[in-house]
Amino acid sequence: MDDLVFARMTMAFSLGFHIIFAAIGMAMPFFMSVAHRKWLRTGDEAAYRLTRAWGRGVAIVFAVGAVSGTVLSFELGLLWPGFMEHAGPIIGMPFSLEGAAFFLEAIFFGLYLYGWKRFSAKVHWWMSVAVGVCGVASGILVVAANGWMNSPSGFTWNGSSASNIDPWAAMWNEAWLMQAGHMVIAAFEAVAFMVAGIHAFLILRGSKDAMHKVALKIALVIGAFAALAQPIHGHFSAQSVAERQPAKLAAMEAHFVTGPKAPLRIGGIPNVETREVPYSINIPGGLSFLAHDDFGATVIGLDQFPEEEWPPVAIVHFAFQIMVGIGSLLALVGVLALWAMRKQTLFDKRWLLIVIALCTPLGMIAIEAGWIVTEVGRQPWIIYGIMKTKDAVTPVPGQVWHFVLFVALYGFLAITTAWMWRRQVVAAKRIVPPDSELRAWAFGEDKEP
Amino acid sequence: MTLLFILVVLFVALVAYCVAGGADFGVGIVEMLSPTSERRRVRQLSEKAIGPIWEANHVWIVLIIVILFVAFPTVHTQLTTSMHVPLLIMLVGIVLRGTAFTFRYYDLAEDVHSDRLWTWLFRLGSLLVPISFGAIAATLHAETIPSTVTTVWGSYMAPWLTWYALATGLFVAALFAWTASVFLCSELEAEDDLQAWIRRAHVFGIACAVLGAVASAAAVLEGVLELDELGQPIAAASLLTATAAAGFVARYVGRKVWPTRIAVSVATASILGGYWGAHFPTAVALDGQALSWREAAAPDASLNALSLALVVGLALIGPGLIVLYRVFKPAQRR
Repeated sequence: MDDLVFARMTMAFSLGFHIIFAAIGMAMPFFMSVAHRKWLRTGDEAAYRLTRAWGRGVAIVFAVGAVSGTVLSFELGLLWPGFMEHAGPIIGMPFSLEGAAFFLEAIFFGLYLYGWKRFSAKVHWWMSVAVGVCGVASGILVVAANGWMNSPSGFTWNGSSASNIDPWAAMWNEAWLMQAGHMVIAAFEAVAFMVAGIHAFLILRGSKDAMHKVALKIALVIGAFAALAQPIHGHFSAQSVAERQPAKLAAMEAHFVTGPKAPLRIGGIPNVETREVPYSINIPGGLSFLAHDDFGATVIGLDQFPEEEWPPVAIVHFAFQIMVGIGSLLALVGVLALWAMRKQTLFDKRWLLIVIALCTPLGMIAIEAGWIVTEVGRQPWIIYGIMKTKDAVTPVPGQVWHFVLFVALYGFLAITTAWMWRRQVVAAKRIVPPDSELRAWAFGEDKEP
Repeated sequence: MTLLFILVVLFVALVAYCVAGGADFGVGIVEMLSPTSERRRVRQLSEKAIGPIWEANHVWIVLIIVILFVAFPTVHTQLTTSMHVPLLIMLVGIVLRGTAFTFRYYDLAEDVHSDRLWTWLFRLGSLLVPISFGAIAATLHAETIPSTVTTVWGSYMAPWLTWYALATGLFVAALFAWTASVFLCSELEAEDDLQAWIRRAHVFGIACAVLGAVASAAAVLEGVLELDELGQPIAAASLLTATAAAGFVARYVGRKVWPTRIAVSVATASILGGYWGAHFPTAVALDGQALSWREAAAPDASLNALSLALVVGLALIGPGLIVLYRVFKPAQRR
């Protein structure tokens, strides 16, 4: 039993660690491309230096993301051999395609990062786009595997093994594209606000480096649109969950009793014993609307499921509240920022810069919360309705040590990566403007913009 | 037919990881074993050589894992369960090597303390991976695992903590260092650099021969290998090929670029191929129960889909890798 708990914690820790780097790896190359393009079009030195500064940041993150992703590909088997033995042949498609996409990403990344002056300036810029495209593709593909765990398809289960395997049907499971879209938008949103926050902080600290203003504008535009798109997408996501995994939706909203006009509960502390949620703010019919576009619709509650098949209600509910709360806040900040940028007063509004700086970690916290909702919300199942998590865990004893090892290793890495980033940010002012040779490469001998 | 194709890709991926990834681990080992006066130069050259390409080199291991769990799920499950501990050690090595290498490259050069830490972790990771990889490979057919779980030690530690497994691990480390030396020899412009790396290639080549012999002796002493098994056609052919390739490398290293690189790769491939081929069609025999590739294979639908994904993936990756390697070849001597 303890081994199961520690195996789950190790998995949660490994995923929670990797997702931060994966999100940065998906979104950040595009930020880099935008800055790079701005330099190529305008010759603005600040944009060039920003491209270089971001490139260094991405390189560090990419290395940690690559190795922690390798770790995950091992951990699936190390921790959940019972799951992989059956799931491997069924969901191999997205995994192998994801592997290919990641391989290409690594290739393009090497070509871009070390390829200055080795290609034409135009081809070199396209490399950065290719890095981003491959990164997003690998993110989308790997989410297919998680979607399949939520919405298993493409096989027949006879109680102990699978037959009639159809890997394509498994890949195109109902949850896939919904979840993948949510994740891609979340990556752009979280990374944009993280980047914007860092640069806003540096401006607030008095840095006059023009690089930060360029960075802030790029990040805020991307972040604002992602933050506005996310609630709309989230609405459809919730409907998809309501249809496929009513128990998860019920846990998200601590909805114990089936009934019409289900309220949307904001906050509150779910009490599983009494099946009440004291201290919550209820919006009547809100959940019915969220789930079924109808304020009067009946929403299935947890009472429709045997209690041993309930996910941990409080954790899922809290995590969902955090995710939605942060999402709403970032959408608001995004609107304010867009409005200030339109009126060209962004850099005069100190309070807004402070708010943006305070938002730095929020997007990443929301991503973690969102994964807690989807992973803990699926419990006690590892393959929803097919296989329980406890039946998939490794028989190898002493998983507590596995957990301790990874907490130590990843804890060390998290601290050092953050510290390295801080160093890079501080050292960014030392990045030199392009020399004449580089300008000639980018713009031709005398056609500088 | 699809099964055969997947096995071929698996073998190719394994060789590619041992050659390309192995060379990356190898430079860490070479750096560690070099005298202090030479380390800084070793480091400069290796950073220049593998900086742009190492991340691509290491995706091969992910491909290997994915092929195993999609196409041979029971082999994968047996490995992750029985080889749980050495796999974890290998993972720690992969994480430390990759991050420390990058951190060291991008960190501010003037901070000696953090530089020392990254250097230390980089070398540690470079050594942990080949040793645990070799120990796992050695245990695959050693039949040292009790068929029923006895104790944690007896079931999960003792089976791979044998002299044979350890010697194989050291042999793999030497093999990687040799590969790295030969690959780097062809990227050097200065004459004294070249002489130093040719010397390294010779030293690690000899180390491979010695440790290979030690590992075989340990296998015989521990009853994993019968001496006359080395005379089987496949084993003998692989030994002869590897020896011939090594001889070729010793003769031409530093003078012919691609022939020596290919020879090093052939040596690695023939060692892996000999080991694999001698046991074929058995995939693993961890606990003495021989599990064949065919028995372990996933249903046809999964194999077909995987083959398609591999064809598409390799069609994209192959040209990409060629471009990557060509772009980052410094001026070569012929």
